[in-house]
Amino acid sequence: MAAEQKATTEEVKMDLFEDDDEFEEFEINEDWVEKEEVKEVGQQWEDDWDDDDVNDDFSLQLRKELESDKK
Amino acid sequence: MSTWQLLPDSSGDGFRWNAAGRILQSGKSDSPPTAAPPLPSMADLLLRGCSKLIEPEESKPTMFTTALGKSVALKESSISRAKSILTDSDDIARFGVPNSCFQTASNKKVNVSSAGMARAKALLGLEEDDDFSGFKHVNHRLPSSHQQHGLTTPETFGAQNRSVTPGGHYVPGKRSEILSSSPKVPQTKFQTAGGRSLSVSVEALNRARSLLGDPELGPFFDDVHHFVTPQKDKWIGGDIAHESNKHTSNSFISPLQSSSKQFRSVKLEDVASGVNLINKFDAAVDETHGNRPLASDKAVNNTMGTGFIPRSTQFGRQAHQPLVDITNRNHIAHANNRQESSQKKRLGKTVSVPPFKRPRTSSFKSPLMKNDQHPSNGFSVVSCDTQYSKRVFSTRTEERSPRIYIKDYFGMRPRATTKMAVPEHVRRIKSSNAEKYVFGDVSSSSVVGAETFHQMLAESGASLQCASREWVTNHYRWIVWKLACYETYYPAKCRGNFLTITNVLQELRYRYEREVNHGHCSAIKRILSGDAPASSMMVLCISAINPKARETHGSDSGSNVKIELTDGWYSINAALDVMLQKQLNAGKLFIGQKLRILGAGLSGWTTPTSPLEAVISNTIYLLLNINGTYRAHWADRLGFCKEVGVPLALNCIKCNGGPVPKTLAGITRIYPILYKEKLGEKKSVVRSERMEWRMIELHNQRQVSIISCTEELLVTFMRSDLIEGLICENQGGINGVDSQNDTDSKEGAKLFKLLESAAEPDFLMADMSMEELNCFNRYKEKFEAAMEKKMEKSVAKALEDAGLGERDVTPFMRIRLVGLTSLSYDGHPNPKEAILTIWNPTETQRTELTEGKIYAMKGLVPMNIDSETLYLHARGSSSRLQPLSPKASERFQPFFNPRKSMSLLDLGEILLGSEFDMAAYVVYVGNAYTDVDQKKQWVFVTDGSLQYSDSGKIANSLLAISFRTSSMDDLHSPLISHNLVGSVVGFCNLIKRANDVENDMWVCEAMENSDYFLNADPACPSHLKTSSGHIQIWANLSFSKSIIDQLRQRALFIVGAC
Repeated sequence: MAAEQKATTEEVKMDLFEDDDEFEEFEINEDWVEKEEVKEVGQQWEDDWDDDDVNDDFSLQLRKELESDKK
Repeated sequence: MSTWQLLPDSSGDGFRWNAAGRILQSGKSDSPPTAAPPLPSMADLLLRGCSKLIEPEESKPTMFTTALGKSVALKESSISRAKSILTDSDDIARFGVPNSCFQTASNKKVNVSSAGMARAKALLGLEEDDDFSGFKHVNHRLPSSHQQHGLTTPETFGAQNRSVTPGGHYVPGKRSEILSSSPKVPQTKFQTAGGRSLSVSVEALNRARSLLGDPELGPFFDDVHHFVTPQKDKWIGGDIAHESNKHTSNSFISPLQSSSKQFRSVKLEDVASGVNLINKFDAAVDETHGNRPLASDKAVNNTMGTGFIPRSTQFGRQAHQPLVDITNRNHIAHANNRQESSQKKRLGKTVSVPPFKRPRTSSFKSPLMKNDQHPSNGFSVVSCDTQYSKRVFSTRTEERSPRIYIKDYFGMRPRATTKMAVPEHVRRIKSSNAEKYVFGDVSSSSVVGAETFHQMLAESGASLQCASREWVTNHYRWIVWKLACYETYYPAKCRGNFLTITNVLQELRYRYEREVNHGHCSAIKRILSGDAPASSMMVLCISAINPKARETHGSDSGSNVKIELTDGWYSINAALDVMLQKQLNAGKLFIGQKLRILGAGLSGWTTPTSPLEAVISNTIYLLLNINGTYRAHWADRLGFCKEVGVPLALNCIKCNGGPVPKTLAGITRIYPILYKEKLGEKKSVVRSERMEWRMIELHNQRQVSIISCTEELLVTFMRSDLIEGLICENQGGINGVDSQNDTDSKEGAKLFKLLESAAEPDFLMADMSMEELNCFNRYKEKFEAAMEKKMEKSVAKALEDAGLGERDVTPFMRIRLVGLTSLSYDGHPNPKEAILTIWNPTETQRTELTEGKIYAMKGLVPMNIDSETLYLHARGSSSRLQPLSPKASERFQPFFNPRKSMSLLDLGEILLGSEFDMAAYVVYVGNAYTDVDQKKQWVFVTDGSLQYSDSGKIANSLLAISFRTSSMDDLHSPLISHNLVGSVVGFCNLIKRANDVENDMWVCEAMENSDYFLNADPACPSHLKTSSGHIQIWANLSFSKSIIDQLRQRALFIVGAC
């Protein structure tokens, strides 16, 4: 029974993980833009197209920085 | 006490109940109670009769009595018919499950077996509602509900763990065990539309079943196989359907859990007399299952409900049944939608990721059905009742079970692998052909494609207006493409379990839920509807390169290479700039790559447009440039980004890469305000502020001169002509002045001319009547006004002719920027430099920008100049330069080299072409002269730092500064005043040139960005003031005077003045 449940769970894709197309719904208006502009970012996007590889680690680091800024 | 009488009806074939002379009205069971003792319910009476019927025949007691105990005689045929209807005495005798919830009128306990109860329920029209609660809408529209028993879904069948009795009835598992063990096959009864029961023999039933299909399981799974591949391929095969039964098991409501009130509305007229019995049945079911939902609960807890109904999809239609009438549902859906639209803003700021994709074990609320008479269909309820809506929403939140994000699930970026075989038909799925993908064997007619999913959604109760064929096809396309990509790039994880009918349908339902019921819109939809600017930061995925117009309804304007981008829900074309095209050609832009886009333009958009229409029209597209397009992480969430737009490093800005939405840079130098005057189509001149003031003064002087000359000419020589002309022009009234009375105006003109030409007009005026005088005065006023207007025009023309018209001058300031290097960067920093020109700088920008600070800058546009230095432009009003806090600034390596006053002794240390500041004593100022198209002037200065050559002469103690400007309009005025000789002046932004070896002299240039200040000038920078003070002290020394004289002589010698 447990094995059957496990198999069942594995096959229901929607239960397994959150897709990247499950967008977040939030307002984008002037107030939001103003509010966002006030926030400052101590990081910059340094992904140069001339580089061969996208630096995944950088974006990870950036995200962490952004999250730490919010706190 | 009243009671019932069972009497033969008029036809003689049936019976009717008579209560103390009244005919029981159907549907009156819940009439208000009266003072008289209530009649026993029909159900009770039936049971009472039943209890009598099952007694041994030998006793043959009087089975029915009045309340007074008077016996009621019944015919033998009536009794046998009642027997056959009510129960099977054998069943009861064998499986007499104790059930003492029924009593006779004489309070005698009656035991009713569960089988008998089930049969009674069937008789009363309850069982099919129980068993097929998920498909009530199907039953509802079918005249013969019993026949629907064979038309349910595999999910329902398997999910409820029910058995199929040989008679074709689905009964709950517990009872089915009992029944299946019975050696005697219960008689099968069908009910006609008229409510009459028909007995069907076992032979007839078996014959029917053999005709329909599998004798064990019925035709059901045969039909399911219409959805699967004949090869039993797990990707698209029967496994999907069978196993989906397991998945959906938890999401279906047990038939016994559905409220009796739901089906009461459907069958009440048939079972009017059985209300109490129904309640008892419900109570009994509650005891059995324990977790029955409240009948008052409007929302039916059923995840799938009628959602996935391949069976009903096929049979529901093919059985010549009408389509589900969802007219009212549409209405409700729209109402809900509208309500959600208004709710959206309220929810927008507070709701994070909605908990839509929850495990199916949790329950969905019916979105389209607001009353419990409708079946659950898997969508959530969005009630007009706000409170209810909130409740639903909060329930969702509570029930949300956290799921890991795609990145954590897969753990690695998508990579093509050959280790595991992925079916070819899955590999072939592209975004361009995904909408045509079908599940099943394409050689057979039983395939499931977008059209079938459209029908499934419609069967689920989705609004066909919202979930149109185009809508479903579009979403089917993106869902199939996504799932196929999962299968292709993560075969070990997916193993063919993702691209399934169930998953696609779930995704479609999820999207319907969010978009239609909750009014949520994806990024592309919001942009096209005008709800959000295209310039907002978003992540989109490349779904096609050089996509062809899906239909040729519109002309493909724009010659740029285009790509198709998707947010997973919709798509939009995007035009690439030259630099992105290069990246495309280099293979750095590819299908499946995500782009983080900031500051995109939108071309061809005029009015809110549906994304489905936009795809067809093919005229709307995003404008992408490389400075606002960055490669995103493979797992970045698609759609708008909630976080702050990340600034692009100055080093990464391409000069031909279009506007820079945001960058971060340190200000190293702020140059003085300059003024650019446009002199013609392609000619302009730049002046310093000092020169601009001088130019304004000069311009004003010239204007005054021209105006006075013009006016004098007009008054002296042209007045008489003007008078004549004006009078001639305005015989009917002064030009530009509407005369209310032409006669009055003519008379006034005549008088005015007479008086103007008269030698002694006073005498004439003395003889004039009051009326004539008034007429004259009125005309004179008008004449003067017209005269003034004419003169203004003449003056303006004269100024224009003299080149002294309105000046077109734009102030601007230049700022030197440098790129920043993170503190954590351990390589060799090579920061890029840029010159930012701010046109029409605001007062804040003029006064508050500070050298040495880091600023986040928005709205900069690079100039396409191939240079090591980047040239950027900004508009004062629309660009934003926001200083970074000291804390945030600490994350970057120091970049600022503060200004300092250089000494002549130190000039050798700085590089040629470098800028420097210094305070110096002005030894000599040469005359201004022209050199090609420039005006130049030499100025010789010293700071008292003396060096001597080997020959003992003073060496390198003189600095020659070459002032130059492109402004040639005031040739006679010097760039720097001769009066400055003998003063200590602070110079800023001088540019070092090669020194004059022959004359042992330093040389530098003072360009547009250079400036100078007297020591007393409050604007003089502090770092120069200190030096100026020291030099002034030195210059005042008597010893210094001889040295200054020597240097002046040398300067004169150099310029050839001596």
